[in-house]
Amino acid sequence: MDQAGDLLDRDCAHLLLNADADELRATAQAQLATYLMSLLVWRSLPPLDVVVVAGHSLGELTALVVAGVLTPEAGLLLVAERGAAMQQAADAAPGAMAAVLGLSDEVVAEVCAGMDGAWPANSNAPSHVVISGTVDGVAAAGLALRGAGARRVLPLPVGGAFHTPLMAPARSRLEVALRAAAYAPPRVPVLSAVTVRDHGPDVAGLLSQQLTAPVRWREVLETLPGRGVERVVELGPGGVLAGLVKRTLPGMAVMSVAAPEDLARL
Amino acid sequence: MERAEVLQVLRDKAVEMLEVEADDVQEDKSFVEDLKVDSLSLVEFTMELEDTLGIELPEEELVDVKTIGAFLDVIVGKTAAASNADG
Repeated sequence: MDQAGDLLDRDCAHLLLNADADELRATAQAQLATYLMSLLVWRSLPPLDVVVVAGHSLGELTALVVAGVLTPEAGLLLVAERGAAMQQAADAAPGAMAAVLGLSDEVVAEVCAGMDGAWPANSNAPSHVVISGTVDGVAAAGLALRGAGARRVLPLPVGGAFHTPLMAPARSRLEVALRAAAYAPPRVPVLSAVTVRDHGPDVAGLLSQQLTAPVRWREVLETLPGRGVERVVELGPGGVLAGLVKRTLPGMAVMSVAAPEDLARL
Repeated sequence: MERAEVLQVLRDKAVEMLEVEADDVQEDKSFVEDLKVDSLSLVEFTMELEDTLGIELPEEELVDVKTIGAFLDVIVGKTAAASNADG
């Protein structure tokens, strides 16, 4: 943590140990805290036979570090810049996101296509899509989706239209940092949630695209059994991804490692 | 359904979906405050209970529900109404 703090000139230990929900709601802080927690967990794991790694949104940077493509330090600088760029874009054009439960990707896409300022942003699990856009756009789309049969529409505590065209300004800013970073060949394949294919030579290009493209997480998960994956291990806080795995791949062994006591279960 | 029966269903589903211990699912506890369940998981859990029990649990009727016991009150009311409608 001290190293991370020196690199970024801010108090990373405070962020993990003392920061409250309000402080963590700011996307830049939340992204840093999530990245650092996930890497701490990764470093404490016993050796695993890793077939493939993948990450949801920000988590793709963690996955690239785990695969050796980025050093932890390079990853940290990119996470900090990514968070700051997204925050800046969100401050300039406030947005909102909401989880839509009970409708297929296709129906959500169709309803959003007929509206202004709302896009499908994450396909998370069967009948679980997150929409994103302007504050008014997401509110209107939420009502339309309820009308189209959604069982629940749940506002998410974020202030930006992440994974939509409204994040274009963040891309230009992040691209400067992405061009400056060094990328090594992966030790294990890293799945991109933009393309649902393994990362190739243009890691920087996909990390930029990621900011304005939907997260195709359900599709990423659906490729895992065919690659011989027998167990999915989630790194870092929350346990939300483990839940998505259970919903998408019934019967797949899955565990979430968020804290040292979880290691005993591995 | 009897209250105890409904509690059993709720407890089984909670253990299956929410990574909580059966013993922690007590009427005076709160899923959010005590069992640290996030809001999205809680909504998915509620939907699963709707499917299992064949009832509807509208969000607006759950706004003031803070404890598992209060949640149980709402569910028991709904299952009673559902079986009356059936009979």
